[in-house]
Parts: sequence; C-alpha cells; structure tokens
Amino acid sequence: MQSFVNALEEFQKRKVTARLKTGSSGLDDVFGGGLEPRLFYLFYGNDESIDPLIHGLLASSLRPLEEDCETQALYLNCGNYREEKTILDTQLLGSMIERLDMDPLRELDRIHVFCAFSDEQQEDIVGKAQAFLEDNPEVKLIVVHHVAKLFTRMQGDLIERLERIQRLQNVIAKLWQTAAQRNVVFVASCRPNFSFRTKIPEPEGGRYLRHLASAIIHVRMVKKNQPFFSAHLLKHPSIESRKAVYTLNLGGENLGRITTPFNIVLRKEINRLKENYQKALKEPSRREAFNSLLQVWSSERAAMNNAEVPTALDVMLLTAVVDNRRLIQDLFSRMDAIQSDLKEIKRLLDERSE
Amino acid sequence: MADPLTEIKGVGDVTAEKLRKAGFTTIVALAVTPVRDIMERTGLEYKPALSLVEKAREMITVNYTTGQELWEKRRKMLRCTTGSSKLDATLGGGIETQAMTELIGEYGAGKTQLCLTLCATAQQPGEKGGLEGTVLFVDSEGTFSPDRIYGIAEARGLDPQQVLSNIIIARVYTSDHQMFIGENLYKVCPQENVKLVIVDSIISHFRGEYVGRESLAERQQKLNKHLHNLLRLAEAYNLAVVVTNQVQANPTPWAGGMDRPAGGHVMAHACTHRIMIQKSKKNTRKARVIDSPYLPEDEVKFAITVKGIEDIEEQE
Repeated sequence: MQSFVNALEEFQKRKVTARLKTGSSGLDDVFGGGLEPRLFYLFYGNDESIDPLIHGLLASSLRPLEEDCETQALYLNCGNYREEKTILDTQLLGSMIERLDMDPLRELDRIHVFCAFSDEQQEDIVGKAQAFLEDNPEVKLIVVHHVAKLFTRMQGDLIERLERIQRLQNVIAKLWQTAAQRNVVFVASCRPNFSFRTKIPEPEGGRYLRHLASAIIHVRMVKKNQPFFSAHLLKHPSIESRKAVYTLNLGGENLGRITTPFNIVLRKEINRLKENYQKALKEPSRREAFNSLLQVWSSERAAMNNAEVPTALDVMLLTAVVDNRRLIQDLFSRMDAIQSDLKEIKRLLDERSE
Repeated sequence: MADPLTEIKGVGDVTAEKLRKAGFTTIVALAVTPVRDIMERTGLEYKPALSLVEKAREMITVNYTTGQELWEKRRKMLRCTTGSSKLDATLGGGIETQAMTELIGEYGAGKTQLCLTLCATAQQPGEKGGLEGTVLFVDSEGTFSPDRIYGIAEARGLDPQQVLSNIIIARVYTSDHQMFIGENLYKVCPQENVKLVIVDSIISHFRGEYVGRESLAERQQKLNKHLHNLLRLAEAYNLAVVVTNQVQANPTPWAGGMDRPAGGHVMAHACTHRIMIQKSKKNTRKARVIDSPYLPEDEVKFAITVKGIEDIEEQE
C-alpha cells in the first residue's frame, strides 16, 4: 500500500479516472459528471424516491467504465422483508437495463445481492461482502439499501440503543474502509429523520454516519407518481451545496397516472385568471359576475364537460368582456367628440341665420 | 552529509540503520519518543533503548530548560494564516507551530474547507502569513480534494500546480494504518520540509473500529498515544498540527448543548487549542475558541468562498 502520494500526481490521476454514471444526466451534473470512485455517497429520502434511484444506479453501473471491462455491482439490502415485500424489483431493473441497450437476462448476472433482515445479519454480511470483494475485483459499485434501518429501531432502553448505534458505526466503517481500499464507489441509502424539526430533515443513523459520508444528498419526489425527483446536495468536499431536479427513465409501461391531476390544473388556471382578469375588471358589477363565474367552475362540472381547464370559450368570453369594455370606452369618447362637433355646427348655423 | 544518528555515542552503522528503518532519522525524533515506543519499533532491549534516549536528550539538552530558553523557543514559533484575518486575530495571529489545533464541528461545518485553505496558505512566504513549507495531509475520510485546492490556489493568485506539488497526501484506511503513518512522520517531515500536518479526521477510524464499552479504554489509550505522537512532532520540528474532530450526541443535552466533541477527555487534554465551528446563514460559519491555554473564549464569523476561507464582506 502506497502511503505517501504527491497531491499533483493525485490531481492528474483523478482527472482521468472514469466516473460512474447514476442513470440520470441531471443527477450526474450535481456531482460534476458522475460518482467518483473514492467517495462515500449517502442518499436519503422516502422509498418512492430512493428505490428508483438505486435501481437506476445498479443498471447504470453495468455499463463499461473502460473498454473491455465488464464491471459488477454488489447490492446489500438491509430491511424487513415483511414490510418491503421485495428485495429488488427485477422487472424495473430489467426494463432500465433494456433502456441502456443491454440484455437484462445476461446482465443481471453481474449484480450480486446480499440480504440482511436483522442487525446481527447485517453485521454478518459485512464480512461476507468483504470476502466477496476480495475475490471479485471487477466490482465497481457497492450499494447498501437502508444502511441504518435495522439499527435505529426504538426498542430497548437508551443504553441498548446507543450500543446499537455503535455497532452500526462499526458496520459502516468496515464497509467504507473496504470500498475505499479498492477504489470502489460506495453508496448507502437511509430514511429521513423528521424528529429534529429542521427545514430539511436529517438522515437517520446518527452523527457518525453524517460525518463519514463524503457526500450527503436529500432526494424527494417532486410530484407524486411522476418520475421527477429533486436532489439537494448538502455535503461534498469540493462542490458547494446545490439543488437540482432530475428525471429517471423508469422504463416499461407506467400503470399509474403520469399526468398532473385535473383538480391541480384547474386550481392553477383559476388562480391565473384571478390575477390577470379580476384586476382588469374595474366595475364592481363585472367583478361580481366574474366571482360568480369562479364559483360555477367546479372540477366536476369541468370534468363532465370534458374540459382540460376552464374552457377556451370561457377564457375567450372573459377576454371579450375586457375588450368590449375598451371598445365601449372608445365609442363613448367618439360620441363625445361627435356631440361637441354637432354643438359647434349648430352654433355656426344659428349665427348665419341671424 | 554525516549521518546525525552515528553522532550519538555508542551508535554504530548497524544500530543507525535499525533506527532509520523504524522511522527515527534525527536525534530530535529519538529524544522526544518514549523508550517503550523505541523498544517496540526497533526491537531493542530496555537498557540500550533508554541509553539511546538519554544520550539524544543530552545532545539537544531537552531535559531541563530555563524560562529564558523556553522564551527563545517560543519566539521561533510561526503562525499560518487561515485566509480570514478576523479568524487569525481570534487565534492570536493564525494557526501556530509547536502546537496542535483541533477543529470541531458537525458535518458541513467547514472543517475540511479550512484545512484545504491551510494547504494553500501554509506554502506562502512568512510576510504573507505562510510557513514557507510543505503540507502533509493525512486523509482518513477520503475528503482530500485536489480540485478544490486547485480552485483555492487559483482564486488566491497562487500557482495551482506548484501548490499541489508541495502537498503530500497519506490516505489512511484503518486506525492502525493512521498510527503507522503518524510514526512515519518523524522520517518524512524533516526530509520534505513539512511545516503543516493536517489530520482530517483524527477520530473517524477510532470511533468506527472500537465498539462497546469494553473496548473504550483500549481505544482511548491508542488515541492518546497517537495524539501525543503528533504533539511531540509539532514541538520537535517546529511545525503546526491541525486535526479535525467530529461531534457526537450529548446524552445529557440539558448540560452543555446537543453536540459535544468526540474523543472524550483524551482529546480535550491533548489538543493545545480547541475551535468549535458551527454553521450559520448561507455560506457563513461561526468559529469559537472553546479551550486554549491563553486565547480568550472568543467567537468570530467567516465565509466559505471560492478562495476557501475568507472574511465576510462588510455589507453583510
């Protein structure tokens, strides 16, 4: 093991080191082009945002980093099987691999799965994972799903819980040491801890995990049931804190809703109309009419009319009202001018007749 | 150049070679190392090891010093700018040599950013607040970022390539590896004119590897040994040692806040100056001297920018 290295040599070496892609270019940009092999990335968020991310990472890690190099990935699932039902969604993973122009039946062999259903098992699989890495230098990614879940349960007194956290520290330290020594990207995920009442929730697993992670990223789904996610980079040794929205190509057929619900679109449109039109209506009677129109615009009625938003006709009607008002104002002005002209003509005629 | 070790009475080529292999290349290194350590690392018996240490101490007269001599030694002490003049003022002029400065803070507080800035500023000439020497970075968490140092050096008008070439990195993977590197510093520091040693972080491996109360005593003993090794190094070669420390949850938050520095009393006693760094608004941070033999308990704000660490602009 080389103990002392010159920083300039290290800088030049890292510049040419291939980065592991996350499966989303938006997320890659957050890290300056992908995940660096020597760092420990901690992603935390709800399952709906973490699960697709992990599947995307695993699929993306199968793409060769260099020519003629078939990489492998190690996936450690640490959770309660009864709660989560699935260890790895192979259908989702398969379709993600397919989207990368690879054959899932062949490539899935390169993802090695270890499972732990209790804290003792998790401690045990760390040793197995270390041995596996020793025998398989092709592994370029280690993903630990729910790294802290089995150790952060609230059972037992304070001392028991503190001891569990210490054991978790040991598990994380061992895995991280193993990954760092082999220049492997180390990714762990955990759930958010909402008990601190901070604006952005902290990751669960205690302060040691937060200290040890080189990069901490809070991910969440931007809109329910849509493949848009937000990533907030909270810690990184060389990149300042930043936010980004990214999308993941989940592949396959989407069975759920992928469009924004009608209610939300309707409410948005009505708010826009309130801002744009209500102010334009100077006369109280017209404003009253507009308000009554808003009440009539219920989502049910609009849905029954098969309308996407308040109908185009409604909007045109409103525009016409405002336009008419301007036309009427113009007509009044013109009538005033004509009347004054008539008065002048009448005055001239009177003068001549006299 | 004559071998300094063979200048010690009774040390021949064979013993000198044995000492060199164990990392002792100077008389100072021998004089400041405990006899038991020399025995462990060289395989010498107690009596010859003791005799070696005594002779080395006689040669550089470290047994007893007068107040005047100590004053002279303190006058040789150098100070390295942190990049923020206000933080420097709080630290009595900057990070000092012959001492160990501890930076404590939660994740994202700016400990590593301060260390990376020091990597650049320490190389500057003395009149610009530098130490005019090489920097040695012991990286236990994988946080050393040459890209960031490149950016800091560029923003400060320094030659980034030159700055990077004057930094030595030691990536450590276990606590034993970290201690081994610590012992090797006696060899590397004088050879490479190292003036600043940074350990980021000092506690990480010790915290992760020693689990349970039963191993706490052993952990603390090892940590103590490692810390004193660094402290002796700072005094022997007139260099600055900066270590970062993590925070841990305080089980009794009503007495002393939510977080407290990790490492317990061993860390508290070994470090010369303890600085607590806390997050503040946006890119600003608060640094507070929480323990020092002569610095007042003062608080100062600084900003993390492209230049690394610098003063907060006036309008803020």
